[in-house]
Amino acid sequence: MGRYILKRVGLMLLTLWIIITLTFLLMHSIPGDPLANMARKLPEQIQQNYYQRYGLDKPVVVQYGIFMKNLITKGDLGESLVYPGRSVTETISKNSKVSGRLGIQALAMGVTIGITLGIIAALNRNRWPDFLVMFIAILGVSIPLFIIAALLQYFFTAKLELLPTTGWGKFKHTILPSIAMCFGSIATYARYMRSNVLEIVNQDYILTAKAKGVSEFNIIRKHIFRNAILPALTILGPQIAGIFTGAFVIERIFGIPGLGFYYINSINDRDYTMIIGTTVFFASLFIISQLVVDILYGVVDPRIRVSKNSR
Amino acid sequence: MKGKMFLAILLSLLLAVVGLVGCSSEDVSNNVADEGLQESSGIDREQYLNLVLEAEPTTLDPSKGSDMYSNRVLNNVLEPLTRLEEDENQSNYLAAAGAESWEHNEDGTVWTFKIRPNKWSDGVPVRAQDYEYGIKRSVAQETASPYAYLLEPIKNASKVNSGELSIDELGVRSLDDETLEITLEAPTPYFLALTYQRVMMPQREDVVALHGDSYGTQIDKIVYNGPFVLGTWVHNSELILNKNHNYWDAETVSLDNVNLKIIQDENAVYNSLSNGSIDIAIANNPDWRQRFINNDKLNHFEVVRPSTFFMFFNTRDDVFQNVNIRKAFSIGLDREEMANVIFHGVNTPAYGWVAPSITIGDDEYRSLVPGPVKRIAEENDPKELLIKGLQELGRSTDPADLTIKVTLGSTDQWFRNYGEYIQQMYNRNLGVNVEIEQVEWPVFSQMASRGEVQIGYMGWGAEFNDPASLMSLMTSTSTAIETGWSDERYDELIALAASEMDPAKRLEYFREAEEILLYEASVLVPTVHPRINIFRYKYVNDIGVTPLGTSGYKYGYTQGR
Repeated sequence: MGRYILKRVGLMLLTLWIIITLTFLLMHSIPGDPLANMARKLPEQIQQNYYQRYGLDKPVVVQYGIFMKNLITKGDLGESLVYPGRSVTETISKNSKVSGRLGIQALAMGVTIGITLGIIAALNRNRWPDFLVMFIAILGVSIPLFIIAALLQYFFTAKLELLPTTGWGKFKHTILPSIAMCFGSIATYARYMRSNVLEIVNQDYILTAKAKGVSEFNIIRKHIFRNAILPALTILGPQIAGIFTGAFVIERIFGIPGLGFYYINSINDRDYTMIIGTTVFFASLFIISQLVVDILYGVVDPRIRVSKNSR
Repeated sequence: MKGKMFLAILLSLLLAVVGLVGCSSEDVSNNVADEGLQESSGIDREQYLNLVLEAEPTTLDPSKGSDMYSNRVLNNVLEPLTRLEEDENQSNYLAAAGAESWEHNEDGTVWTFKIRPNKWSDGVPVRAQDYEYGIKRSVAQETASPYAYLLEPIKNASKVNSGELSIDELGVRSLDDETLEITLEAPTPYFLALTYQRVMMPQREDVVALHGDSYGTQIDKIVYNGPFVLGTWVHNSELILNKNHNYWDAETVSLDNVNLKIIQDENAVYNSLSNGSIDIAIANNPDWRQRFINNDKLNHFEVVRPSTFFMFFNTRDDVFQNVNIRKAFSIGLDREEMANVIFHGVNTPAYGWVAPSITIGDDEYRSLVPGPVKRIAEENDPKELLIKGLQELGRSTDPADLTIKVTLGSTDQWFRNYGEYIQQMYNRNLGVNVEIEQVEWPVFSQMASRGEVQIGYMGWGAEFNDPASLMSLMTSTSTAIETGWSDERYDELIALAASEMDPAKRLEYFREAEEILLYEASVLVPTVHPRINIFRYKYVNDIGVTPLGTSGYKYGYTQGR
């Protein structure tokens, strides 16, 4: 197991390096730069001063060298080009916490409700609860997030005036965005669970358990749930990575200071340091979560654990 | 066993979430208790405003950053030499602020400002040296200030900015703690309009030195000497301004708190205004605008911004080298119709280059000089002009044989509609074929400077309150709008107007220059001036609405909230 993890970590670093290098070269090859993207054209001298100040007058290869040196030796991602004086590392660590808090809340809600609905649907196959759950699931997948969010906002803040429209800091600010965000997860997990459970209820061991007189509740809890939850873990990993990078649309609508804003806007603004910073952050999270899921798999499912040990 | 644990965790999470949702409503009721009780003087006892900021201020370092959002905050937390305030008729006038008074020598090249006694938020007295340092830091090459070019009229500013001369050579010095002297390259009639720009705001050398590059990024990394201090700044979420009790004119300031919520989504802004969680908002969306107009709790202000949306010709192009064709394409647009249809009646038609609300002397330029484009339209038929031009070029005189391309610097859906609209309009009025090309802004910018655009579309806002702000963009040395056009007389007129102190003479120079630009050469096609609809709860008083004004929230108060 130890060697396996070590090998995976090595591969992870390699992947990360490739991602950084590609992103660096690609972002410098899109037309425009942080200045050209300002709505107006600044005089030549002003542009030169700016390029000099931020080292953008040097060849891309040299800029890459400087960036990698700072990243490896100091763990420094540099200073934002659009928000003068703000460190990228600090921006990411502050804003990803906000995104993370909201994301975890939404994901927890989505997964719990989704899994429950999925089981209910499967156990009542082709009866009305099943149709209702699948109807909700299809709506959840097919209605765009911003419409759900805008409707929720209009209804609860402008019509009923129950909740704050925008803002961040108190729990009440997170309610509407969490609800809006969890729709997608509810739909995904409900469908996932439904098909997994359907597959399992027809297995022989369920029949055996029934024949042995195990109660309905215990069958669901011990035999169906445990086996059906496994595949759902696979999609949970990347999703957890995703929550820290925020949900751009939701953050925008509800005025939440998450990372999604920087993740999207840095590209439009050509904020090079922020682009590479958020990319490194997301890529690392993603890769790590993949590793964790793989390890968790081994922990949860004995069959995988055995096969890995025997390798 | 593991399955049990999973279930337990999931269930407890669900319970936690449901539980938290359940207890949320108590916070909301607190807001109601905030409602101010009225004092005997009539104004509310609790003075606060909730406002919206459409984007995060990039930085509160006055020398860096160029966005209007940080400008808005800076105007409230720092005290510029002067402020552009507004009277009850919504016209602007220059008022003394950080400077008590000022005078200039006979030819207007040396200005002396008497700095008013005032204190920084940390108790240190404000000195002329702070203003001197602020200006010098903005011009210094290593600061890389995007707005440094505004200070070009100051003696040696360009050379200092390019690193040719040391910062000590800049024409700014403090004679003593209360006297600031600024020497200009040449008489500059609009110089006072620069004294309320961020690049001339005061800065404390010791504070800048202490924080270095991070100066202005957080509330504790800047000092204040304006009507307000910054109490909270959660990046991308909100800023809270608190009254500055050290401010020289603190008596005048009624508001104790101003909450600036950063909301980027338009609908969220509209929802917030309708439930009263913000007090003032801009609503240009036609549906919402109508709804707010019908709301009798709101006051409505329509304000034209000092900007012009326009199309420009590449005068080196095979087709648009011809002035008659350019004129035909200028009047081939029905601006009234455009303003009503594609801009939903929000914007106002543009027949001149200088935007409304820009003043010369004390008068609005546009009210004295009618836009020259209107006359081209009155005197000519667009189709005839086009055919005449085609003849002069020796091309087929059938407009249907002509295909031209309009390039738009955005891939947005709105621009797609705009492009199709222009296409139809030219086809209907001139009979020509129009292709629409949509590219991202940086690509557009690059294409324009390479002369790869036939007709381009842009908007430009005045940076300071003088016709020169827009007119100087079209001189042969400026690269702001790439038309390939240059005219000696135009350059001469702009140069004359730049150093003439008499407003009447300047008006004539600008009138003639604008005539050359739009009537004789027809290089630009002004289409509309953007207008904004401001909605404000009736209990809000004395918050400026003019787009150029810089009085901020200094005079604001609420009555009957």
